[in-house]
This record gives sequence, structure tokens and C-alpha cells, in this order.
Amino acid sequence: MRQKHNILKWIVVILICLGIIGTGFLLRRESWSRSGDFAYALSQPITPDREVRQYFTATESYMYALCFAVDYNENATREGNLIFSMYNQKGKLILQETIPYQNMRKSTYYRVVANKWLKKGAEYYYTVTVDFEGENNPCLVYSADPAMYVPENISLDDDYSQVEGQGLNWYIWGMPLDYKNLICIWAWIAIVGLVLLELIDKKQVS
Amino acid sequence: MKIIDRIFEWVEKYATILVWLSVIGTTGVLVTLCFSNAIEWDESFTYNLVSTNNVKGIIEGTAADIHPPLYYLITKLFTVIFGNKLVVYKLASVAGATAAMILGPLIIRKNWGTFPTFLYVLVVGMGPTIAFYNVNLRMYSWALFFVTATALMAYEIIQKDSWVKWVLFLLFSLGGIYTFYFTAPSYVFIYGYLFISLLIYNRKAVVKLIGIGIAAVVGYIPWLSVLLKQYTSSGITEKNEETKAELWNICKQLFGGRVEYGTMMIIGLSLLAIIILWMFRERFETKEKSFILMCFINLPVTYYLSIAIAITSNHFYNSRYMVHTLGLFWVGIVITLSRVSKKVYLFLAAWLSIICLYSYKAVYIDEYQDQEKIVATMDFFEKNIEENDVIIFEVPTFDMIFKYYIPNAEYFYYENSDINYKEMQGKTVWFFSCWQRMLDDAVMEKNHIRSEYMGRYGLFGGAGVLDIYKLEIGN
Repeated sequence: MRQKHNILKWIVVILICLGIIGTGFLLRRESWSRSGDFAYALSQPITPDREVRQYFTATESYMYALCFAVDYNENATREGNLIFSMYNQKGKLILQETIPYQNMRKSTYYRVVANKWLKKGAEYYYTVTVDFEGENNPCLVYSADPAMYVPENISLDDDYSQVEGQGLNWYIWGMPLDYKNLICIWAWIAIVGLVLLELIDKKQVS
Repeated sequence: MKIIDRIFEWVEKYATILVWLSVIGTTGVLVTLCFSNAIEWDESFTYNLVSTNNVKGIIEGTAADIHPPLYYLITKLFTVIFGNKLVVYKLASVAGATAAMILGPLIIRKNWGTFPTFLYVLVVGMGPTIAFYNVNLRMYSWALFFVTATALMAYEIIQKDSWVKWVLFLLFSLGGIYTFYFTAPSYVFIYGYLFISLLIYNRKAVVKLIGIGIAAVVGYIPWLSVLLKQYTSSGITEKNEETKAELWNICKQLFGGRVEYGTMMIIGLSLLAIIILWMFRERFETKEKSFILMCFINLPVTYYLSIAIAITSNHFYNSRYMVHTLGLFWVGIVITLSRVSKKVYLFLAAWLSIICLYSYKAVYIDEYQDQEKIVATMDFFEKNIEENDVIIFEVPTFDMIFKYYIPNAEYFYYENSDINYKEMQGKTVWFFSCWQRMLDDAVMEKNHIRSEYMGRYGLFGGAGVLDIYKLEIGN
């Protein structure tokens, strides 16, 4: 019985240590950067054969989400889907989302949830294309004024030719926690762990 | 371990001095947050109501609004004694926090010992969200004091009742409900808790509770007609998103602060406290256990009852309407976790200190980050705007904010159809734009108005950006 309690205590101690180490690597805080609010321009209408491609640098190693915006004729019908895809530098697909065109709002950020670990400082790109031919194809909204660019963006291609501008984007990153926040979380883990140890001790005595 | 034991012994030896020093120290830290000129809309309402009215005017003014009068009267008393300055208004709120802290040495220490008292004092002074409202020109710090004091007095009565305790219980109850309506759900719960506890432990005292309950209702009769009028006519007519706010979101606003994962940690500790209450039940008296549970359950119960009130009265709902429940919530955490072991207590103290430090820093930044901009704006006002100048503003009700800085100007909302520009001829007219809007071109042309842009200034909150124009109204 005593040995069982000792094993339990060791498990709790190991869990506390793992918790303390793990939080340092895994827990993140949200940080974002977004394009400025003025000087918009529009790409050519996106078709199944004509994609827009935005290259960007991962400024942090964890991406919570990426937002982009499209424009369209509000008075015309919208059918079909937009296909958002994100690739690494080698062209390997790492994220894809099919977005019903109806779910997009005109010139308003659409949030693509990523929750992906990326290589900090490496180059990535995303593409937006559609799966339909129609009268009211969407256009990607981009900034034409360098003062409005989001720092992550490198270059924008519209149908494989570079555009004078950068996509209108909002990058939501996971930043490492600062040391005070980590100490706070570690103290919390210690409280929970010590309560568990106390509980095991109590069981042992009884 | 010997060192820890010796430290604990030393602290216990000088406990009386140290706990009072902690009250003074925490109050002192809060006072450092009181010297900015930043004032947001709600605060400017308080300032204008209190500074421009006597007691009768304050009562009439708040009766026409949606709050009971006690907080405004307390603040008025402060301004009468210490002068009509913004810092005095902030200190009136700090006084509510200090009153709540004083419950530590007086009641918490007596019932649960010295060490939980330190943590209680720290957290009701500088806990997440609490610190912000402790220097805010609103009633929340006083509401927190009254609700916490009432519940602690209920516990005292359950332990051993006396007439002094009953009278204090009544006064604290009335104080809370005369300070903030949304304390009522907490009181319903605290009275219910006391009623059930007395049924179990001291059946004879139930009659006294009924008597006190009747006295509380009688004591509230002078304000009852106002309350009923406000209940049916105040607030907004459409239920907005805030009214439908979920408990988790409310918790995130109450506990989130600037510490990442703060909400999860605090909710986690409250759940841990309930587990401790069960697993270490032999360490707590039955009366203690029910009191601690009451401390935790008070928050969600108050939330759901408040939501019901907000929906039926067409009033919006906001997380700040729960601030008064936080005192008891933290009482539950500190007295339960401090009972486990000295080591747990030390880590709890470290954790809480960091949480409170973050909370203080957040309020400090909030209070002082715009100070330079506000001082520059005030300087512009002082050099350029004179008494009886006309100010036209373009965000509804923002005259409330401007009146704090320029009390004697004449204010007009720019879309008000009653504006008579001809009457303004010969006067100095200003246009204050916070949302980058300007008078309609047609209005400018029709009234021969020319504008001169004086520059971008800024105040606080919604008025953080302030474009100032000087208008010249021609014949």
C-alpha cells in the first residue's frame, strides 16, 4: 500500500515537471498584425483557372488564424465555393479550407482557422481560387499603398504575374509567453500538484 | 521546512500589525492610480451629477437615471470634505475598496486566521477587474464592500448571533441595495443561505431574520417607487448581444486581465477548492463548508438572476454588474486553499501576487498611457476656449465627457434639428469630432459656415481621438 502511494506521488511529481516544461513550449499568447485601413484595390475576378497567390513570412512559429477579404457584386447571386490553400516553401499543402461563397462578406475579413506550427522566418504562400464559373466571381482585396502593407507579406501574384500591392491580411500568431506569465502558470501547476501530493499523503496516513 | 515554519511563526507573532499594514499598503498602491485626468463616459456622468448638484439634486438626478443614490451621496460627502477635484472622486472609490479590505483584519482573520487575510486584502484591492473598479468613478467598489460585508456578517450570525450583528447585517444589506440594483440577486441568495443555515443551526433566530427582512423592505420603501419606475422605463428597448452574454464570457471579462490563461487558472482554482472541501472535509466545520460553497455559488446564481432582471427590464447586461460578487468568490478561494498546507499557501501567495501585479499594471497603463495627450488637449482648451463658447459635437451624449473639461460651454449635438446657427453669430463656435464626421455640406452652405481645422487632440476612451474645428458663422 505504502509503495502504491509512493508511486502515485512520483507520478504527480513527474506530471508537475512535465507541466512546467510543457507550458514553456506549448502555451502561447495571441498576437496579430493586420493591413492598414486605406487604399484598397481589387485583383482580377478569380476563376477556376485564375488564382491569386500571396507569399508571406511566418514571423512566429505558431499560427492561430489568417484572414483575407474578397469583393463582389452584392446585387448578383453567389454560388459555389472559394478554396483557400496554404503551402510551405516546397509547395507542400499544409492547410486547405473550402468556403461557401455565400459565407463571405463583401470587403470584410474572413477568418481561416489555422492552428498550425510553422517554421519561424520561413516563407509560405496561400492561394485563393474558386470551383465555379460565373458572372459574379470574387476579387481579392489588396492594399496598393506600401504604408498599409502588413509586414508579413512579401509579394502578391494575380494569375502568376506580380501585382503592385499586397493582400489585405490579418495574421493571428501564437507568441511565447513572457517569463512572468510562465512563473504565474508554474505557480498554479505547483498549487494543483501540491494539493494532489497532500491528498496522497492523507490517504496514506488514513 | 524549518525556515518556512519560522517565517510563519514570526508573521503570526506580529500578525495584528502586519495585516493592518497590508491594508494601508494596498490602499497606498491604489492611490497611485488616482492622479490621471482620464475620464470615460460613465465616470463623467458621476462627475457631472455630483459636481453640479446638491444632495437633493443628486437624488433627483439619479432617480431620473438608472441607479440608486448612495454611491453618489458618499462621493458628494468626499467632495464636500476634500474639494471638488477628480482625484477626490477616485479616492471615494478607493475608500470603498479600503472598506472591503478592512473586513480582512476584522472578520476574515477572526474566523480563518492571519494568512488567508493577507491574500484577501491583496485580491480585493488589486485583483483582476477589481483593481480597475477600485479607482473608477462608479459604485462598484462600494457594492463589492457591501455584499461581502453582508455575507460575512451572515456567517458571523450563524456562528453566534447578537443584535449588533443583526443591525450591521441590515445596514450592509440596505447599503448594497441603495448603491447598486444588481446586488439584489446576491442578497436574495445570501438571505436564502442565512435562512436555511438558521433553520439547521439556530431555529429561534429565524424570526429575527424575518424581522430584519421586513426592516430591509421598510428601509427601502422611500426608494421603491423610483425603482419600479426605473425598472419599467429604463435601459434600452432592444435586447442586445450583451444581454445574452454567456457565463464563460462574463468570467473571461472578470478574470482574464492581462495574464494569459488567467480565466482558466482562476476557474480551475475554484473547482480545486470545491474538491478540497470534499476531500479534506474533516479540516472544515460544516458551517464553514456551507459558507465557502455559498461564496462560489453566489457568482453564477447572481449572474442568472441578473440576466433575468436585465431581460425583463430591457436593460443591457455587462460583466461589471458582477464585480460585487468577486469579493466573496476570492474569500472562498483563499480560505479553502490556505487550509491545505503551508507550501500550498506560499505558492498561492506567489501566484496571486503575480496576478495582482499584472492587474495593477493593466490599470496603471489604462489610467496614464493617454496622460500626455490629455494634458495637451486640456492645454488647448485652456488657451483657446472661453466660458460660454459654443461646442457642437458629433457623437451622441459625448457632451457628458467634454463637460468635465469645459463645464461652462454651451453644447449642441450636430444632428439636432433645433440648432439655430443665426443665434450663434458673434460667438466662438467649436466643432468637436471624435468619429471623423463633420457638418453636412448643405448645412455649412445654408448657414454660411466656414471651418478652420485646429488639429487632432484626444481625451480618453471613446473620445481618444478628437479633431477640433473652429467654425465661423457668416451672415
